[in-house]
Amino acid sequence: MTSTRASEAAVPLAGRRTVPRVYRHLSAYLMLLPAVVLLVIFVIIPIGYGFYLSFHRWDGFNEPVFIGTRNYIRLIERDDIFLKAVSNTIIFAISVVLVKNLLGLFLALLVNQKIRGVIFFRTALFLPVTLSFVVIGLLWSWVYNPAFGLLNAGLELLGLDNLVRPWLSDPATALGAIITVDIWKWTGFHMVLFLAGLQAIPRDLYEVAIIDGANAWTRLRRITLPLLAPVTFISVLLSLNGAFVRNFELVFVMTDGGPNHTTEVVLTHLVTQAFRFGKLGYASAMGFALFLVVAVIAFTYIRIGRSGTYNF
Amino acid sequence: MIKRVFLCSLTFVLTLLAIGSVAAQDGFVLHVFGPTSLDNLGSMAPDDIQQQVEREVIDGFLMENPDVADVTWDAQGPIDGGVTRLLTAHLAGENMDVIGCAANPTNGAYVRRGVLRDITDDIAPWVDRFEPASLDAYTIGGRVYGIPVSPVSTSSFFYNVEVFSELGLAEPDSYADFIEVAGALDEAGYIPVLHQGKNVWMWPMWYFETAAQTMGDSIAKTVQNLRGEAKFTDAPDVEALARIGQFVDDGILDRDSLSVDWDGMRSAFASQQSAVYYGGTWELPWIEANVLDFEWGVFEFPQLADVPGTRGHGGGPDSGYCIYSGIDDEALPHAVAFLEYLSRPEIADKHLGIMEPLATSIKGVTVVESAIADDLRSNHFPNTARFLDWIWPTEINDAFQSAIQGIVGGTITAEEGMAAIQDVYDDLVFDGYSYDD
Repeated sequence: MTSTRASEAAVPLAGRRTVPRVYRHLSAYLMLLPAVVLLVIFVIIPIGYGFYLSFHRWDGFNEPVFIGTRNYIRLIERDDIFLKAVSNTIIFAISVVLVKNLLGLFLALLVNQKIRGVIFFRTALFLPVTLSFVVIGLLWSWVYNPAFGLLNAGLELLGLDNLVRPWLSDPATALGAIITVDIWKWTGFHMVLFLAGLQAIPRDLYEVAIIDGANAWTRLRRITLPLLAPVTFISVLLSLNGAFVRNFELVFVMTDGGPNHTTEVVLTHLVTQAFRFGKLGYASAMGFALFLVVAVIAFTYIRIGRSGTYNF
Repeated sequence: MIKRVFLCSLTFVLTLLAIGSVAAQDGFVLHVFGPTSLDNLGSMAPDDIQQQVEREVIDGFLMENPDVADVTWDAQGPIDGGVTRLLTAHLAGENMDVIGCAANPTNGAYVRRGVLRDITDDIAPWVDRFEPASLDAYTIGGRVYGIPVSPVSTSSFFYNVEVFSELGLAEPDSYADFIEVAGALDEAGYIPVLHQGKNVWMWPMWYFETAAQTMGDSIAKTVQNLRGEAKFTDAPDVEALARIGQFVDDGILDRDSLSVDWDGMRSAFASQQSAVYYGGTWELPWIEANVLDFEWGVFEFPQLADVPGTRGHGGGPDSGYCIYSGIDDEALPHAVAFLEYLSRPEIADKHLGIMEPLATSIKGVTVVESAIADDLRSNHFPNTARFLDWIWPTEINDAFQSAIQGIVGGTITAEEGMAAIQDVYDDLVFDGYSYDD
């Protein structure tokens, strides 16, 4: 068997003019340059500046004052609301990551069947993904409204009056109500990821399994889930990241962290501290603490993924 | 071909005209920045009238000040986002000369963060135009940071007179009366009192009322707390918070209020689902325009039992105008001239008069005459004290909002709520806060 690579290897090196590696890839570097410049200006420098600010007290109007690690110490020792927000963020993250992926997989299995109207079902299930958080937040605030909301009206219609409650203002249900909306919005996205994965699995594997007498559950366990592992990895990683850093809009629109901080997440607390109380340095410290948590979780997750059966 | 030449020529001419019109705007432009939509002139009036009056007032100013080519007016956003909007505008370097400054954030945040110019000397020649009590709302440490340009408000319960008559109920005077009234309303299928609790910034109004009665002089006690001479966890403070919870426990205030916004509260009242709601006199223009199917009235917050104090409703001049501390030297005389123009009684009569005020921060403005207005002026105003959230720093205000939500929702005790507020205060002190600075 011959290959181009093998032929190239056969050419004596002495006969070649050696070009420094950087010049050989000059065009690639040049093409990357605009993106890198934008990345540095709009991402790297602000992150660096944010890190610098996290060691300062700054209200946005006056000069920043260096206070060392005081912002970080305060996060842990003095800010009960931050700890509450961390706890809520973790509850939010665990719930949405689990449910969105399980439900997404379940729906993908359903809409992967050859059934009448499957395109309609796929589109309908994906539709919430296309709506903005503000629209969804307002829409669901009306659904949950205790006076004229659809949810309570539906429960009353079904004779379940004992379940009727002010969903967003009852501390026992407020966070759960928001989590439900986030799951509703994103499940369609994860369904599409899993659907793409399912459609990439060769059909003949299933045919062989059927000939061997494997039932549906065995086929799912032995063929579908193992071959979906790369997609599952990406899907979980995306939902994990989103659960920590994309929960602001929904909470802000629906409850703004209330009642009495029962739905406060780190991002709403951060924004309040930064822009309402003018504690931009403290908010920066909070942002870096969150960054650290997300980085550790993501890194650990990726390491576990790499050490498993599948390399990603 | 001829068509193309014609279209190109037309485009060229239109471009020249556009450039010409921009050039014609050459001259100084005064920028008024309103952190919220309530920072428009005559904001409580219907939109079309408000815009007409605003244009009329600005045109009058421009006529008198030929050096000023235009006045831009950018006021938008919700009330509770005002501080955020001003901060982001400042950080983004937006043009701001005059700032629409509600008394609440002016006292709670703007002055403390150095956003506003000390205008004591600038307004000295015409300072007599303002009611002294109203000017006090913009005076901090003896220096004036804004001019009050606003109707003066007080707080009140608005109620459905016809429902009360049908059920044989009188306006409740004491807390015991209120419990009886609420029971009768509930039995008749009405929500006794619905509050716009989703707007968390409205909750402290209940605290102003209870604190006035449990503390006696709630303003003096608040200042003591903020100076560190007393604590928010003292018995009268805790009692004031506990009394709000009692309104819910005794069936007067509906717990669902936590999910009700301004529109929801008003529509429940207008559609006769709720018989009573609590608010400020800023409700009057809306209620007069929209509640046409039944007679409505007002009554004061009830006198609580076993408390040292008497009624004290929150009130004052809600909004005003300030000058941005970063204003440049060229803009300053125009900004001062604009404030002077807005506060002339004959001009204020235009932009405040359209809101049909009970009283105003500027002397000589026409006030509304009606039986309700007389009732409010003679009975409610004498019992009105400055809103406490004009004294609290923003952080304390937010802590109160959360604590009251917790009390109304039944998730915390009054002791826990006030301890959380004291923690916020301690944290402020830790950060260098001092009331007298």
